[in-house]
Formats: sequence, C-alpha cells, structure tokens
Amino acid sequence: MLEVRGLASRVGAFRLGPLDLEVGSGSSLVVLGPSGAGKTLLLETLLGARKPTAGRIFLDGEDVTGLPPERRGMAYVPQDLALFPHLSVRENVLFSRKARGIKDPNPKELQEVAALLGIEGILDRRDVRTLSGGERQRVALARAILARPRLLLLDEPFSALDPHLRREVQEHFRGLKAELGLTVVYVTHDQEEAFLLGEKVAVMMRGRIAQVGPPEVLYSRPASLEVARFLLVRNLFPARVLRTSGQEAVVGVGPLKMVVRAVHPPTPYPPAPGAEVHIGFRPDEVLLIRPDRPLRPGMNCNIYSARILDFLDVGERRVLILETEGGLRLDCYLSPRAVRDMKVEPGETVRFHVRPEAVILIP
Amino acid sequence: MEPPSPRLGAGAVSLPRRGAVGLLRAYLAAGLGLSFLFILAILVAPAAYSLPRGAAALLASPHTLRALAVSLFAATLASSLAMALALPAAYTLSRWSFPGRNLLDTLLDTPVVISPVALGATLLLIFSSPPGQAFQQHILRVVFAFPGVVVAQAVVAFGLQVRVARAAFDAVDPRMELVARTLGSDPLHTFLRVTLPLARRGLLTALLLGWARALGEFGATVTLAGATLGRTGTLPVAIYLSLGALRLDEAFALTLLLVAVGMAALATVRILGVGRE
Repeated sequence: MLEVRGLASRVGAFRLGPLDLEVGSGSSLVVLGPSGAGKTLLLETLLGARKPTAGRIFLDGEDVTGLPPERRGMAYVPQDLALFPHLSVRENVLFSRKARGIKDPNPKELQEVAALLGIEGILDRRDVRTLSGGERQRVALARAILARPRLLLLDEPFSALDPHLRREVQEHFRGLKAELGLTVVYVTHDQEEAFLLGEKVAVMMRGRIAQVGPPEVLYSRPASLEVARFLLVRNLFPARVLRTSGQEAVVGVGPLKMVVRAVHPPTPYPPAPGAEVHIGFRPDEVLLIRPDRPLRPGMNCNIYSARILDFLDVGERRVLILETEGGLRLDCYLSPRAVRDMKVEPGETVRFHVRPEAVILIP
Repeated sequence: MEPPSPRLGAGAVSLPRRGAVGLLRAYLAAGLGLSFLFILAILVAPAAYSLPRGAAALLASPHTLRALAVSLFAATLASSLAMALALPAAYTLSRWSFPGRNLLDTLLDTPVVISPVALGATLLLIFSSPPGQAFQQHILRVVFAFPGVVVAQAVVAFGLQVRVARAAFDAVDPRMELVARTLGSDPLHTFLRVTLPLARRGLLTALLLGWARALGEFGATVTLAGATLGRTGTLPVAIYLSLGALRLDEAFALTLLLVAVGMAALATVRILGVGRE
C-alpha cells in the first residue's frame, strides 16, 4: 500500500504539490493530467530520483522517503520502456536478479512470468531492438514484475502501441494485475486509458491533484470547471440556480430553463437558489428527437429546438453544431446510422432533449 | 472568405534562383572535391618522396625504431592516464548539476584552445616552481625527461578526451540508469552494467582519439621534455630534428610512418563507431 503525505517538489519555477495520495494493496491509481501537469516529476519523486522539498512517502507502512531508488521496492516502466539495448531479452528480464547477485539463468519465477506474459518464445532473442512493439511492452513488464516490487509505476505504458494492439495489451494487463495482486500507479494523459485501467483516478493539474475518485464519479461530476474542460465535457455554460426540490434543481441557462438531477451530487446539494454555477453535458447526451415519432416516455422536460449550424464528419461519429433559440451553441454527437435515418443538414431546425441525470452541475 | 493572395516568387524569379542553386551546388561539390584532393596529397606526398629513396631501410634503422617505441609507449601511457581522469570528469559533468558546472565545463577546454608550445611553456613554469621542483626532486623528474613527454601528451589528450567522453555519457538516457536502480541495482552496479556498456563506443573513441592526438603531439612535448633522441625523442621530435639537419629522406620516411600509424588509429575509430550499428 502506498501512502503519500504532503509531498512537494520543485524543478526551476515549477512546483509540485503538496499532495496526498493513497493506493491500497492490490489496487490501482491512475494519475491523469495534461502534459506539463507535473506527472513525470511526481513519478521521479516517488521513485527517489529527486528529493522532495517536503512530505513523506510510505510503502506498506515503511517510510521510504530517504531511501535510494534501489531500496524502495518500486519498479518503473517508463514510456519508452528503456529496455537495455546491450542485453538480450533474458538478461533484460533477469536484470533485477543479477543486480542482487542471483545467477540462475532460468529460475522458476522467470518461467512463470514469461508464461503469463507470453514471452517464452522470445527469451533467447539477442537484440531487443528486433522485438515488435507489443513484445517490447511485455518484456518491460516482465522485467519489472520479476523485481517483485511492492509498487509498480507505469508511465504512459500503452501509448506507443497501435490502437488495436493497445486495447489488447491493456486488457491483458488488467488480468495480470488481478492475478499477481499488483499495486499499480499509472501516469497518463489519455482519459480512455485512465478510465479503462483505474479503480481510482486522480486528476492532476498544474502540480496539484485537482480531484480523486472512481472513474464514474469523475465522469459524471467533475469538481471544477478546469477538470470538466480537461475531461472533455464540451457543452459548458454559466447558469443560475432558479429553484430546487429534493435532488432536483432548475437552472437558467441564458433564456433557457434546464432541470438537473444529480446522480453523484456535489456538496452542498442542492445549491441555494440564486447561486451562480456552471452546467455541462457531454455531446453524446444531446438526443435528437425524431419529428415523425411520439416522444419517448420520460421525455417531459429539457426539450429545446435548435438550428443546425454545421455538420462535421470525424470518423466514428458525426458532430452537429447546434444553436438554440437563446443563442447557446452546443455540440451533439450522432452515429452514422442516426445520420442516415434523419434529415440533418445545415440550416434545418431540430428538437433535442438532454436527460436531467446527464447534466453536470459544477458549483 | 478572402481570396488567396497570389504567391510571390513562384514563376518570374525562378530562373535567377535556379542559377543560384546551381552555383551553390558547384561550390559544395568543389569544396568536397578539393578537400579530398588536399588530404590525398598529404597522404601521398611523403610516400611518393621517400619510398624511392630507400624509406624502408631508413625506417628499419635502430634509430627510427627507438623513436617509434618512445612514441607508442608515451602515447599509450599518456592517453590512458588522461582517460583515467577524463572519465570521472566527463561523467560528473554529464550527470551532476552543481553551481559553476558551466564554468568548469568551459575551463576543461583550455588545453584544446591553448597553443601546444604555450602549454608546454606553462607546464615548464609549473614544474620549475617550488612545489613543482619538490615534486621533481622527491617523486619524479619531469622536465627534460621521459615523464615530461607523458605529462605534455596527457594534458593535450585530456582536453579532447573529456569532450568526447562527455558526449558519450550525454547520449546515455538517464532513464536507463533510473530503471536499473529501481530494479535493485546500486549506483556502482548501474554504472558498470548499464552506463559503461551503453557509452562504450564513445569512450573507446575518446581513448583512441586521445591516443592519436598524443602520438602527433610536438609543441608541448619538445618544450617540456626537450629533444633528446632515444629518451624523449618521439616520432614528431625526430622528424623535426631530421628536417633541421637537412636529412630530408629520413624526415619524410618518419613522416610516412607517423601518417600510417595515425591512419590506422582513425580506421580503428571508424570500425568501432560503425561496427555495431
């Protein structure tokens, strides 16, 4: 279990922390943040490559803050993997054992880990530079796992892989992590990766942890405008609370009224009437209403009409840019199938609905 | 939308431009060709002069062999000693960050930019000072003696070696070292098993270039160690003495020998540099 208390560090004018983190044994934390947020500095400080200016790092209850990297029990897989080019695959994987003076070239642990990662066939490859991207990835993981670390730190571990291979390796690693009971800290700027891997996600911005929580909470309740923007909640508007009742609030967004029903309510909730807040909803939550069909049950509020300003084709989905009566501009995602079924041309007027549960209220 | 602005320089000015490009190409080709011819002349001239004049016999004389032995022995000793100092200096400069690092880095280039004669004179001054004389009396005689040859060559070689070795260490990603550390490797094991092997080629190049530089050194050597044939007479010193005595056959035979040894060193660097890539 990793516990970080009040950790602070600095490089030049950049300040990291003070920040607190907690990762239970056998679980994982994703540190998610844009580039320049201080993720690498955090990693280097955790690993002992940089001295913190304040704070303590505990691993399984032991204070490791003053220990050199080789005595912390943290293994590290950097973004570029840093396989040793002058060593064979086997020598790479067994590096931690050689460093401790264990010479056995084919220990039982190696066979087990190699089998788990499916690298038995390439162990005797002389030159690691001849490996494919996925093989290199697995060799780097095997090398880290064989060090029997108390904590595994992975820096953008899957970002260099092809998208299809990437999903496969990520899922494979999830299984591996569960099987070996690894405690893992990932660092990434990729939300999809963060939400796929992390039981807990810490959003890091400008050297600080802006929010920590399970992916679904982060997804539906960003704690601040900054976090919401980073998590790509596209449709963000300033709003004013008009009235509240129970878990529901009605807010005014320009001239429009919108009902908000909090699923993971922020505290205090509901906010006081008259409070200035922000609301946001994801473009895939903007549901176009087909004019030729009756309204679905439950669609009894948050129905607006809008003009289509533009229509963009971005591969897997189409993006409609809409403008409502009151002049709000918002994005709406449509599947190619929906586009085929409906008449969506710039200049057309459509009606759309936003579920009250899908509206995020940011205090 | 604004209409695209007409592109300037596309049609009308292309003719004079093409002329300029042609001129530039001719200049580049001429530069490369002339450099090559020049170097070729340097290599061929001593051979063409001395081979018909019995260079083989002259080179086989005990006198020449003695100068060759002094040169090879001194250059090997000097470049090894200098490397022993350049290695930690280069590694520290590459990896540690401390106040005054840039100043120190610049100062380490001093032996490269000072004229060898001036360097030799300065060394003479240092070894003639009271602490220098004490060193010479109690530990090792340097001035006008063989150790002087080694000291002069080592100082000259060091300036080159520290630069090349630093580039070799700079090229090793510190993350490789950090990963090794997290795998339980202490700093010494990390240096020996990761840093050194990864910098190996650059370090060997540093050693060989330093050796070649020491082998050809003349100014500092002759100033500090003098020109006593047999004891401090390296190949360059012997060439100088032969020229002074107007024994041109001998001078150019020795030159040919020096060129051949230097070329062998360069070829070795080249093979080491390209071999494993």
